[in-house]
Amino acid sequence: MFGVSVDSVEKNCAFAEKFHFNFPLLCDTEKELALAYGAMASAKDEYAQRYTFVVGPDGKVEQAIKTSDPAGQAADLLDILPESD
Amino acid sequence: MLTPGATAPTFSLPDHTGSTVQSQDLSGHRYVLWFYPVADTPG
Repeated sequence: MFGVSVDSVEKNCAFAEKFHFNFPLLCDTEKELALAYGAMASAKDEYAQRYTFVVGPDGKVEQAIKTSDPAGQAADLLDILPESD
Repeated sequence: MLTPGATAPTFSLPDHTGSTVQSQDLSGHRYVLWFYPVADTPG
């Protein structure tokens, strides 16, 4: 599992330390990954929307989830995580 | 947004510790990408 945002290494490091995340946070400062996944409509956007993608061992997207409610996103993740490696 | 069945885009990005994570190293594994707006937003 990886978190992804357009924040800098420094900001994500502080975020990870504050919440003791046990997974890496990727720093997509050029918005490259957010745009490639469509988690951001345009490079003019300031930040990505709350999307979750599951990528399978074959390199194909298995699930794509859009969440407007962060609590709902957490519930979605809990559904997915037992299946991930 | 990408839909199920699409080929996942490749990437090479630094993580919060400064280590580089490459999608090619994840080949053969299932992984989750959780996009969030801004580090340390409420909720």
